[in-house]
Amino acid sequence: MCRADYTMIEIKVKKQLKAFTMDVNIEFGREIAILTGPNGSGKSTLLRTVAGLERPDAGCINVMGEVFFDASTDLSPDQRRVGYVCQEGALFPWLTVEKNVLFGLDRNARKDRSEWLDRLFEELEIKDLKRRYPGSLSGGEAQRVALARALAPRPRLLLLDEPFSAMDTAVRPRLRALLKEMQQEWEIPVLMVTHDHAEAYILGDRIFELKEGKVALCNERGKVIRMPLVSY
Amino acid sequence: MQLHMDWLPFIISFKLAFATTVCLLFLATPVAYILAYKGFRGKPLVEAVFALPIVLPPTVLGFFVLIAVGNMSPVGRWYQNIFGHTLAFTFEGLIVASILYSFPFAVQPIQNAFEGVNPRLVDTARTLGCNRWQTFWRVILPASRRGIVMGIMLSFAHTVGEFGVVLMVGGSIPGETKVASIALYENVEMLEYSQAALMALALLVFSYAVLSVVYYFNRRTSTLVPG
Repeated sequence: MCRADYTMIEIKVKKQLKAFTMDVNIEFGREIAILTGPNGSGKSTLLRTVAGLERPDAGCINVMGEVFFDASTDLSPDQRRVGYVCQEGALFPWLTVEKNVLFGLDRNARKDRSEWLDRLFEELEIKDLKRRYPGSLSGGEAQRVALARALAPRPRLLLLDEPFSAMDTAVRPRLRALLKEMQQEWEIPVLMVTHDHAEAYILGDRIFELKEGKVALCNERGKVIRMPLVSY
Repeated sequence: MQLHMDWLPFIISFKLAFATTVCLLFLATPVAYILAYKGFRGKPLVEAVFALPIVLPPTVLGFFVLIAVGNMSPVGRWYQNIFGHTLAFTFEGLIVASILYSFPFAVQPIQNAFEGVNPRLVDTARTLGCNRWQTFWRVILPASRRGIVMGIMLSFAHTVGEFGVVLMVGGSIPGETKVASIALYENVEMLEYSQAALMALALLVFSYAVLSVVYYFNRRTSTLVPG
């Protein structure tokens, strides 16, 4: 069972998948936690169960004292207030950049949080894109907009599913730095999936390596003795 | 030779098509949603029922509707008790028959559009605080708008093009159930070929215009960059 700790995110879930049973027990705080591992090791599925988009068979998910899932609770995704950004960004193509970012806010919140929104547009460097449509954005721009959209409603937890893998290698370092800066400034807990080992060790304060649905290796920043030489 | 055109049948055709399309929009959208997103036992059988009007001879469908709305059926008697007459040979009866007849032409494009919505958009909307109903209004509908417009146009055009069903259920009462296709047929029967030619030409131009717009829309959709 989860301890329902107010400072931690606890994810203890079991789920039968096609090839294996996922059985994970991880904890992290207001930091960047990385899920890495080979393709098909259950990384994305785990992220989706935290978002509420898939249902575990058993276990518990607790985010800063709020129970998302346990034997008697199963919050729907709209009740969880997590930010979720997937690989392709998934911007709504019929809305402008500005309307995409405002999507998760209701009418009152749009007025109240204008200062916060201004900062988001500023720091993610998408101020000049407000009136553009997603179809005209580059991969890096689209992903920054997707990040702003996920952050706008002030989520309790940010879930990122390979957010940088679909974009140019040249723009990735800039975005990683941006993510790191924003995480440190706002202290929002981040759980990020990547199969890129270098990225995992550049960004991660805590790194969980999944293999066939189980945590095969768990590293903490400062305690990393060697970088695994295996590449996937 | 008289070249004066009787527009009344056209007006009835368009009135019928308009009423049918509005009803279909509200009936076909939930059906399309269920067929697109819900899996259930016997779904192919249900889908086959909804597709039947495409392959059935319109007279067969018209015959069943006529029986169903007549005073031999419970439904027909119930309607008669409330309104004092049956639906057979009335404009309202034509609407019921047209809804059944054009149903697949509304459901299928809308269902295809729903099935084509990027599931990532739906997931993202859910995590941004939308419940299922809000997700439908804010994401699934706007993402499917082209399919819905196609469904509307095809239902409208298909209803204007009805003949067999209308003849069976509505008869040919001038000003009430005599639609353009039937007026054309009667003109030919009475050997008034110039009238018939005008009507045929008008229906041909209308149908071609609708289909051109549909194909234009289709092309636009397939070249859209997925979000």
